[in-house]
Amino acid sequence: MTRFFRVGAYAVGLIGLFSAFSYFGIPQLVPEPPPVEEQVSSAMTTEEFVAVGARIYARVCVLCHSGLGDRAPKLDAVAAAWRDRIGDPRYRGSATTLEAYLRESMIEPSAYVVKGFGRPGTGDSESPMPEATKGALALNPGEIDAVIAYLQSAAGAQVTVVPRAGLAAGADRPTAEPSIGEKAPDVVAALQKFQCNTCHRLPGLATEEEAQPPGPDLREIWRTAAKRVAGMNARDFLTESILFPNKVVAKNFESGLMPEGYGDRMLVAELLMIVDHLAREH
Amino acid sequence: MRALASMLLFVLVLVAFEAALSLAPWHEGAMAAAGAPAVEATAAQPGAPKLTVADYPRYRGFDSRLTVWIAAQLHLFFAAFVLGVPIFVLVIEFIGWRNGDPRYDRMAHEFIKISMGAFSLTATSGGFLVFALAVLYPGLFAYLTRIFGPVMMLYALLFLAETACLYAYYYGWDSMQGRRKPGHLLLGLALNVVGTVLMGLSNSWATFMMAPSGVNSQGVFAGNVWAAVAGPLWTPLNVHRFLANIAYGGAIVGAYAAYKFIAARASEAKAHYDWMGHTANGIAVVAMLPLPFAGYWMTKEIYAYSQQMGITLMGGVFAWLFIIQAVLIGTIFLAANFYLWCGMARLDGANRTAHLVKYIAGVLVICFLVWFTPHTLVMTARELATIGGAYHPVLGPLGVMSAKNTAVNIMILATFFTYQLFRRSMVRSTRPWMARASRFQVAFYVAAVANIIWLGVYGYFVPANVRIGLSVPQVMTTLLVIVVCVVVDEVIASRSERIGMVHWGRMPARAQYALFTLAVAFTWLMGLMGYIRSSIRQHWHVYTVMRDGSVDAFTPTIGHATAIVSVCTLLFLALILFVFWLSGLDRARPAPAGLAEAEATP
Repeated sequence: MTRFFRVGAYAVGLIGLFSAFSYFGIPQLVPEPPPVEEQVSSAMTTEEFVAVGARIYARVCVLCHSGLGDRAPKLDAVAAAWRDRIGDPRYRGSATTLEAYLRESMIEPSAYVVKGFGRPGTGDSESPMPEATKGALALNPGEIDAVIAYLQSAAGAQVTVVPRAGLAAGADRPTAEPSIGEKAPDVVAALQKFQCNTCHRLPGLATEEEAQPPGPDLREIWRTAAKRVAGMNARDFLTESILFPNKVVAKNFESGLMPEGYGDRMLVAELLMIVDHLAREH
Repeated sequence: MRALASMLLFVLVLVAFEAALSLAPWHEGAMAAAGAPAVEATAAQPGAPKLTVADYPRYRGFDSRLTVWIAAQLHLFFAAFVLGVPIFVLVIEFIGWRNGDPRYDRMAHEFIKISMGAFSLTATSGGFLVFALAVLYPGLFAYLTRIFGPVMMLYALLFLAETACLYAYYYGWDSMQGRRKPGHLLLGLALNVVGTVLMGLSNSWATFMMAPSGVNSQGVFAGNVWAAVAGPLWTPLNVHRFLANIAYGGAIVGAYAAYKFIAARASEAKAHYDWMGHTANGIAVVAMLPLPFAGYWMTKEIYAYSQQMGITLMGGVFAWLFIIQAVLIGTIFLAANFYLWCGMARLDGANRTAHLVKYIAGVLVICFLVWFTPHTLVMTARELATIGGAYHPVLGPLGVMSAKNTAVNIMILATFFTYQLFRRSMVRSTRPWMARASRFQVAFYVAAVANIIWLGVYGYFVPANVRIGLSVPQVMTTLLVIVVCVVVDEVIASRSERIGMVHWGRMPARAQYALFTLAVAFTWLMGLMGYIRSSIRQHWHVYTVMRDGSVDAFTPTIGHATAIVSVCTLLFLALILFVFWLSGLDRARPAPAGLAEAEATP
């Protein structure tokens, strides 16, 4: 019986080791939730529309178009490259503008395949990219427009698409949770929307001097943000502190006080506004 | 060595048969997936249902996904075991019949006895899985039934045939000896053929969910069942599972032999179970050697089917799971080699080669570390921020496939070299040509390793599609070394002088823990890889065709997933211990005399 328990304990210990390595040796990333259908409204500003496109891009496109350029072409220089591409003898599409080229690339990816990125064995005549309106991606026309707006904006070109209402194609996805709400019009509204001033003293927002907020005073964070983590500039540090508040905790403050999850509730534009505001000299 | 060579040959024949199926002119799977004439949705041909949370019954205390996950994983563990064991049992029985050695017959019978005990648990877990699917995921089950109904009926009939073959094979063992032995071997062959077909049929349901074929983008079934069965991932998965089942079966019966060895008091029994453990370890290792290449093929086909799915697998959050996989495979290689090194103690002439073991261990550890190194973990911006970059600035280059392919090929060669040392420890070169042949083998090893490393380095300077192709000459180099060295060793062994004997049973108890390690690591690894294969569908029941509308339509964290894998492994090991205990209740056959000091026939 002792033998039996010894062998059993060895097996359980080994399983425990594998589990422990998986828990403590590997980052416990929370995978992205299933995609939802973005709601596009004709009342959106161009900035909001671009932000919707940025969200879709981050969720759907960046897995391949990561910016490293190893799995799919980088898209930051597409504004400069599209004319050469449509003039290439290998081009099989009909686009005459950047907007049309981007739309065509998403709906009919094999119309032009950047050299070296074709399906193996096809001589770069067939793209491995799935059609963005079908299959696992299934973007609706409004979402395609938003991605075009984002790509134009990111490439430094003029945004030529405008948000149009009623373009949802009834993709097989639930619509986005409305809880994110409308974008805060300015940074003060954004800080109030997320109740940052409940726990922090903030530049541009009055707080009672007698009150002792539970979080660090951020009125002069612009002086120290760039020095907090080696190799990280002020904007990166602030972005990380909002998205992952417990990664670097200020001295004399406990870990776990600031809630996680702002990354899921904040619009990209709101995050950028807040980071800009805190990083700027006051 | 002869037994292992026969085993390898048998496996290669069956793999070739599987591959030939995919090349047959009536194989339409890939064509259907690549865009065969589209099927128009009509009222008479409903597509895949669009499910909402309300379509999934919930029962208090039951987590639907966990229930199905655990039931499926347990069924797969048992199924892999009962399908893998009869394959090598047949080979061992055949060898015993041809050379007239009763030890082989006894060992084969003991192996199949364990498999018999596990068979009913396979059926029980399979039944539980079907009921769980039908009750908890009725929409998905109905859709799959609509497409695979005829296949499911065929599966049920073949399961009956499998049961009949297994019972006749097991209970007819003693009565079908002597002149009736060929008939018994044919029964064993029928058992394996039916088992392999059963595996292929059930694999088709899994591969359909990953890469649907025979349906259009709305999930409308065209009516051609074969097109739905023979999807683009079907053949690679069949080959991968076929090989993995053998390796897994070997690992589990190795644990059985190890336990019996520790428990045995009589030297004859110790000798028998030592030999059994040695054979089981050999089976597990031989079947495992081609597994990485079967895995590469499977992954290549996943990329060919959907680059998005491929990148999700290898470059998204799942990429981290391959780091865990590397740890497990490193554990398996090191445990298998450790067992072999301990096994040198059985040999009288092992001192001549013992000093080489430390170098082999060093090579294995270095290769393991290369395999363990991650490279591009392409993720979302949020994940990249968490990790702090896509790859390590210094060690990152070691994480690409060129380095990993090189590492795994050298690991395989190092493991084979250990086997060769075991074999060569018992012979002494008596003629000058034998020394020359040995020098030729050394030169061949050096040239092969140089070639493998050169191809690996060359891979950094060529485009990705050329780089992937370089894995083929690397594998061929490894296989060539193994084949040539086996032939040369056989020639030398048949014409040289034997020095000493193999003392079966002269083995330290700690070596048996290496066999337990193999069984646990294999089981855990299977659970992990099963999770990865299944979850790269993400929030789809049937990828791109039928969305998962349940509350569980999300990918769990790595920690949560591996905790479930651990629970499944514990449950399986507890149940298989029960099977071992059951098989011990049967009156054991007496150990054949003279095994304790027998000639090595590994």
